[in-house]
Amino acid sequence: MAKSATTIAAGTVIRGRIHGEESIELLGRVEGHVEISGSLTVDAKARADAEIQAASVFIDGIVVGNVTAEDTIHVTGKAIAAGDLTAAKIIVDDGARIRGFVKMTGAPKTRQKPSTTRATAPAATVPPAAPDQDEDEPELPSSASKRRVSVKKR
Amino acid sequence: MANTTIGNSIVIEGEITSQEAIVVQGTVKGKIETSQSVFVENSATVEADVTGESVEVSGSVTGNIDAQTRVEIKAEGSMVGDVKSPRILIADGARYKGSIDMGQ
Repeated sequence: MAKSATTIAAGTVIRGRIHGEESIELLGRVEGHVEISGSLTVDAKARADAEIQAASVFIDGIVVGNVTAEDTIHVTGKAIAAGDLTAAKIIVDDGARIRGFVKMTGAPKTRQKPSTTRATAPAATVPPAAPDQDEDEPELPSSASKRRVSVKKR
Repeated sequence: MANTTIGNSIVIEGEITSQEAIVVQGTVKGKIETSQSVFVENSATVEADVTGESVEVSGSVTGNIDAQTRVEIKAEGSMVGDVKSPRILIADGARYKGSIDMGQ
């Protein structure tokens, strides 16, 4: 793991707003807001109850709150993420637990393929299935917050 | 590695509570509380009340410091606020304004 200039150690809790132009390695806890132009690493034993915005976010621990990354969000197999994930690229490993809406903003290549094969259908016929995915968007965050309780129980 | 380091460009508005040493290179506004040492480095700006085992100031601190063992304001350091600590060192060149309480 790349060494970040900023490290929040295991016994440290930060409540409030963190912002800056570098990367942060979180081993402890953060509650509030994180907004950085570098990357954020949430270590295996770390926990973030925060709204997160970063270039990329690596989650190995617990994150409760919405995460937005310009580049990549990587959720490992041991991680728990409760909240919406938005990034150009999202990687989820086997074993990861996610509650929330996942939105990939980049990589239009992967979308173009299925849309050429099913382009005719979604326009008119598919509504029973497709709206489910699209219109659920505003609902999911609220259901995500309900489910957070069950995540915490573990 | 056990230290918490707040890097140069990082700004924290809120409170930091810790069981480890805290090294501040960036900006902290709010409160710093640890059972270990606090180092306010050259590049740092702290606008917060600081509680720690010992506190070393090479940057700028505005706020009160409460230390269990000692407070040191280095030559490059500047501080405005009250200090409560059994031992205090203010280096030649350091700037300080506030009151000092060394207990009994």
